[in-house]
Amino acid sequence: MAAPESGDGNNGAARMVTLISSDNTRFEVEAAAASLSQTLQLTILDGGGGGGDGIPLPNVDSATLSKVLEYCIKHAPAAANGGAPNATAVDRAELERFDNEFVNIDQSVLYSLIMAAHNLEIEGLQSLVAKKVADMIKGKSPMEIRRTLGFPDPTPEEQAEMNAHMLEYGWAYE
Amino acid sequence: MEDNNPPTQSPPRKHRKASIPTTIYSLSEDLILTIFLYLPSLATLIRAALTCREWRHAVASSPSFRRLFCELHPAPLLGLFFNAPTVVENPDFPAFPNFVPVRHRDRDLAAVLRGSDFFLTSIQEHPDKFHCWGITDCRRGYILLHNGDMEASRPMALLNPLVRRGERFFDDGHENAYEGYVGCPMERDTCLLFSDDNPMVYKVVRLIYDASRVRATVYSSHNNKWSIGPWVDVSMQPQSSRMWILNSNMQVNGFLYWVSRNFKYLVTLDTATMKFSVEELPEFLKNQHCSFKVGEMSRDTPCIFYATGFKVGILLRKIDNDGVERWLRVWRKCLKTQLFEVFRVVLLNYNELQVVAVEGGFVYLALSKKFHEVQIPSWFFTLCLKTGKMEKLFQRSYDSVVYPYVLAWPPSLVGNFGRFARGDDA
Repeated sequence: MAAPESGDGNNGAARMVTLISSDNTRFEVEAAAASLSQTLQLTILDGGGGGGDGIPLPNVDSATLSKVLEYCIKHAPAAANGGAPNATAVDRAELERFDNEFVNIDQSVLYSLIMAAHNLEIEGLQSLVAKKVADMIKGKSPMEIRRTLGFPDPTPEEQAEMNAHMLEYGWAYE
Repeated sequence: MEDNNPPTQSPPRKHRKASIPTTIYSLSEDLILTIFLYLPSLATLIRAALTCREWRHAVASSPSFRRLFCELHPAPLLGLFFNAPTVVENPDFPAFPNFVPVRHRDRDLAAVLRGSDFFLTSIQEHPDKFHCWGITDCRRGYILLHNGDMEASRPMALLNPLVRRGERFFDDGHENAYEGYVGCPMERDTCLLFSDDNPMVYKVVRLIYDASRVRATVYSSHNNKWSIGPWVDVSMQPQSSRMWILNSNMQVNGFLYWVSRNFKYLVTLDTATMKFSVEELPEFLKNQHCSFKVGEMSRDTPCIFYATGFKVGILLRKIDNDGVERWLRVWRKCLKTQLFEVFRVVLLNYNELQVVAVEGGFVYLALSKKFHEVQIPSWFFTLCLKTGKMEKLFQRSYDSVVYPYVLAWPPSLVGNFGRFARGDDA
């Protein structure tokens, strides 16, 4: 099957860019995948990231960046099709399966991911993680939310405030 | 975005090193609010916001987040309050409003119903009051009640079923409210008004009227006093009945509305200026088979929603051909097909719709049958004015005044208000 022509003017092999994480690890990735990030897209359109240069990402460590790129690579073909109006149901189901599994990870990775998605302006990834965290919050009392999301024990001051809230909004704490 | 720590007070959380895993505290206020937009309902948001001071502050200090959240998740209906069919002014005949809940599957909405005082037990405990209460208004999570005992001191009660021990009692009117009347003076049920600037401040308005004039009496929460407005001649044709204004109790955006008994006039009070105005209603609303209510098309837009049989329509304030602003019909439709899709053969038992209330872009309707020999209880349902979607609620006799109860934003989440106001925000 012939590779579809990429829109960036390079015929044949897809254009590659290099991203450099905060701990100086270099990632080579297709420009189309990296362009899921609105921030990177501008740099890439300006011709950045090619050759030996690389785009430094001082706010994203290598573990998070590799996870971010895993998401981008998987979602790049659908994104290139403009939200995939002609994608088959099978393709869509496959992406959904991928997304569900993708966010089935440690909380610290989730939080790193959403911060990176926010920094790099990857809307799909940001909402995917936000939805996952929202799902962890719903149906729980404030104390259960604290436990689920790994809050430290409340300070005496916080506990006093919670007790006062409990008097007023008792239903929320049941 | 260099420092993603929320502005917390506890110093240990501020020193995050690369070796320490990212925690929920690492997320900025912006990201916390982004996550909150995916919460399914206001009930979940309230519980989430009560998790810690930083989260509550994030919600309370961002009007744009609250606006967006409201657009995505309209405030959920928790149920309908039905006044007792008759309230007898006698301590031997108890009368309390009945609350009928809407059965949501959402756990947080179920928690609101389970943990709140919809049985109004807090007022039943009061030693000096007859067990004889009727709701006169319901706004922003508060219900305003009036005791049937004419002799009672402070017979008005204001309470929020979600807030424990928050009930307040006060007088039901100014002693000179009727002064200067002509003919026979009458009064209408009290209306509850909240200030948009400060959700802790409210007013209660009672309309007094005589043969041809109206006057507003107003209770203010800030000084606990009733004040009296001047008599205003509303210059209508002489009325055959001395009770010529209906107890309609409708409100949009600081305007209060009452309908005349003959369905010919709408009396409006602008509570910002305290000025009354009167206008004639369109001819087709005077039909005895027509049921209508003034209410909120959206938050700030008043509309009249009417139903005749299964035909419904909407009137908005528009400039007419002659340059005068009037209630003009902008939309009408026969709902029979859509009703059949929702109610199937059950619909065959009914022949008309009654408009119960129009609030927050939703119309509350009751499927009814007039001139029936056997009493068939009504089916209550909502119609979303934005999407046109119908939602069945429950079946019950429509035998008294009904007030939808919608979950309201607590004052401590809409700014720096109430007991939990932060001193450091000043």
